[in-house]
Amino acid sequence: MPVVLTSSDSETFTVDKEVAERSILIKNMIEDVGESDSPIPLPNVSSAVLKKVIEFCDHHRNDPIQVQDETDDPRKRSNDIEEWDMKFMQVDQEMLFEIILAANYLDIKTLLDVGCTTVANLIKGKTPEEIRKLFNIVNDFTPEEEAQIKKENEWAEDR
Amino acid sequence: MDIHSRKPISLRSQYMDSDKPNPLFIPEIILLVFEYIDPSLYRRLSEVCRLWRSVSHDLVWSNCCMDNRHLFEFLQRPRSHGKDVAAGDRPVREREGEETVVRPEQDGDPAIDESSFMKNSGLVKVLKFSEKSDLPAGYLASLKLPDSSTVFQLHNGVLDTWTVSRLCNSFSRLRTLVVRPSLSISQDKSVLSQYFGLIRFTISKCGELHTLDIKTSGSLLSSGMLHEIVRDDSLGRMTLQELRLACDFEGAELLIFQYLIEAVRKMIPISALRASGSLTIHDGIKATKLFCPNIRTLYLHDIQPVTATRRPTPFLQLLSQDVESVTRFTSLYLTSLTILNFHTGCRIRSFGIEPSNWQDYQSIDPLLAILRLCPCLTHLRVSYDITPASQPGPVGFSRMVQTLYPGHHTDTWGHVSDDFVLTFKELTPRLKNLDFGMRPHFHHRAWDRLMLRCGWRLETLSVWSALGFDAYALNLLVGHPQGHPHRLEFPHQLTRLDINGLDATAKSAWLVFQQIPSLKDFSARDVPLDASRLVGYDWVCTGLQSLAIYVAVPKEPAKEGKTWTWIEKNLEWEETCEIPLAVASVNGQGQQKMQAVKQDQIKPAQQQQQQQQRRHDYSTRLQIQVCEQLGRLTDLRKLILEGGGARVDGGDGVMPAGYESMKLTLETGLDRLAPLKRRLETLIVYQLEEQLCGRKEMEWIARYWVHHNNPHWLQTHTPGAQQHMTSRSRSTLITDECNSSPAASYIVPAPTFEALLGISVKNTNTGERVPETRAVRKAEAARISSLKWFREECPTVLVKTFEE
Repeated sequence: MPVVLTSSDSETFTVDKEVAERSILIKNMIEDVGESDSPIPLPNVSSAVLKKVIEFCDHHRNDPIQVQDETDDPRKRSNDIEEWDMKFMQVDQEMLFEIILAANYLDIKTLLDVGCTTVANLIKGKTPEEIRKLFNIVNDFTPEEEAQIKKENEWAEDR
Repeated sequence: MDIHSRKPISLRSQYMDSDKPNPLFIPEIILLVFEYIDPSLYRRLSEVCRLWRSVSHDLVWSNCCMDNRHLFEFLQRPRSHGKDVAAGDRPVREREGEETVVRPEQDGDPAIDESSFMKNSGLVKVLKFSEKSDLPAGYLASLKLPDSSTVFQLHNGVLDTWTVSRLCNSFSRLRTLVVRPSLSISQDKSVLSQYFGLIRFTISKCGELHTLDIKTSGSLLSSGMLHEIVRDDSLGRMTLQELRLACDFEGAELLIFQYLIEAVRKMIPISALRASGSLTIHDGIKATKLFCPNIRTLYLHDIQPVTATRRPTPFLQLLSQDVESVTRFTSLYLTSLTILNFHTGCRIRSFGIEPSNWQDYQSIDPLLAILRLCPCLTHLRVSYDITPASQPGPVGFSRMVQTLYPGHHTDTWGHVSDDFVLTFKELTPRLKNLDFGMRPHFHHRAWDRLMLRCGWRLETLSVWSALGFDAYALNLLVGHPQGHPHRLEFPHQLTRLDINGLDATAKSAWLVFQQIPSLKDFSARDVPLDASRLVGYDWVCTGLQSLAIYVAVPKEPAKEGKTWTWIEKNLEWEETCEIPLAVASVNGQGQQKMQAVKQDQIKPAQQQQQQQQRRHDYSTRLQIQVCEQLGRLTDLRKLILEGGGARVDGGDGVMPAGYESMKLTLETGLDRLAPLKRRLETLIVYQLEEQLCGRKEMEWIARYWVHHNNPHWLQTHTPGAQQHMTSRSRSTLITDECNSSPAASYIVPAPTFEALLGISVKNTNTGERVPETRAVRKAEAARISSLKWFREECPTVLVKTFEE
């Protein structure tokens, strides 16, 4: 049973139900509405991004759905990304961010994890200034605050 | 302005200048990203912007690290801030309320911002103090706080009571206490007693103490002191579940068991035990004068009783006096017992003559006596110590015997009585994890019995350097072959096997690859595995995560080989002669050996063809096939490949004659290891004939052993820092695979070079004297330039060269 999705720019995508249901949002929608032929509108996702998201879901269609393990220590999470996912994430920053937002909106845990891991890997080994530059973040600390934070971090730094 | 307070989420809007929101301004996503970043970097991230700072606030404080000296100064500043805590028995200083006060710095040294520290101390889960080598006595070395990771470590010194009470009160949820006093303390009696007074005080104050870990050098903790520390009733003792002691108790070590027995006896009426017939300890039973009744894990180091009729230790004396009464009704609910450097021995009265009264000795075998007390054990580890500082086991043991009984030869001392195994099995019905490493005196017959009776139910087994463990014992461990009805009923649970140093198992060690699918960790260092035995079938242990093997590649096909065949009527593996298996075609996937054995009648033409193959080809193809087998282990995180050390007359090498090491070049199958890049974190290759210094191989490694866990590499090779890359590395790393799209350089995989520890590079000239021809010089120059290139590319990798 195929599902029709409509992107923000009104492009329609027909995908298998099991692929579409990798998204918890869509899964819940289908469950709530019941099976129907009417397209599911996704006003927060552009067609370019939706195409990528569908590609991801299609590749992972047979993966077991991740069960949230509360006891699992998040610090022990591995930064490994599967090779396919890594290649999938070889996109420019704008697309990367849009994928993350879409994954967040559509509630696709695996995609969100892969996206966040990718960002985390970009952040590693960078100074705050480099991070700001990379992600276009404005430094909104006053010089006094910045000095204070630096000082505080100095004695509390992991060496 | 209070920069520590959390900002409302509405702050987000100010960052969103365009219609496309930046996910890095959404707190939930920032938190998720942070989860993939090392906690030590949180502070740096908090410097990025206000939003990140507020989002990371809790995380930053949960992992707090600081210089030792600062904490000590902080603790020693009682009067200025200490009114509310100096009394010693007040709870944690109030945290909420007042605005954070930024205190002016003194002498320009970054002192602890005490108020923010105290304010946030409730968030602290891990508090680490960096150690400085120039620590004056009294400095606190490490303090990790609440929850399971809580460690309070008194390092190298004495803190005054006030300081300790302040600490205990601040961190009353302390779970782990680690004590590592220095030698200088142990020499001063008064300092020593003060020191242990503080430990006692800490134990009594911390009602959630879970682990007590005391390690001292010299005879610091006398048995009396130990008794005193753990004797009287206090909070920590009820919750204590793990006790780790590495101290010399001057021969009274095993008194600890006596204390435990006393505690349990006081807690449970003997009549109750009699009635139920089994041991149950109910948590929460309150009783006074208990010694850690809930203890589950006991770790003892440096235990040295020598069982003998002449000088039994107090504990053994106790047991031998009245074995029945001590052990019948008293059991300890220990599940894990580790005794390191445990020298046990029974004196055999006259060498060569079977002693008639084994029973007498058996009753005081110290290990069995201990096991009798612990029927719930699942983990047992008893071994000699291998720390370099101490004597290796057997030497230390014989020295001890010599000291205690001058004139005696160690040969007249047995370590295992005849029915040890039977008794052992009876006493350890739940045992699943056994480490009997470094027990060279454990007789091979005892091993055979042990494996026959207990082998099938073990989950982990370590027998490193237990020289009595031979191929036959290993066969018994392997048990029935795959697919055998018995195996279906009793599947193997073995996940970890360590047979390091046991070259006597080499004959049958390959059976492990064929017969034990549950294996996750296999270590067989210094056990030369015949490469021709490792191929021709698919390894069943595809879930291996850690593998350490020594591969010996035969230089030419064996004319006649011996193999192990399961003989159903005897229910055991028997060594049978076989015509060697043809080396399957290089591309061919192996078959199950069980089938292969039946179909092993090799066609004459094929055989003839093989004989014609040059020796070089044979060895190369074998190596490729071994690499293929390795390449299928895609869960591998750690791979250690050994080789070298050719056995020459009188030498101590491992490599048998007629065999050679794996070369690990691209020609011999290095490329077949490419699938390992999925998980591999550590690759250690040493003393192979590896040509990893070859340019081709290095470039291959750079391309295929990729990982994004390597911070050093990421630092220098992130997309923003492309200009730092040399043109060569770019061409190496971003060739064919990655340059498919313009954004290809967005993520560049990082090699795990950091983990590539011992790349050893042999000087190819060292074998025999080769005249210095031009070709040799040229090869040498190429080698040196390859090495230079590699070193430049991967500064974090230790490259060892063995130059003469």
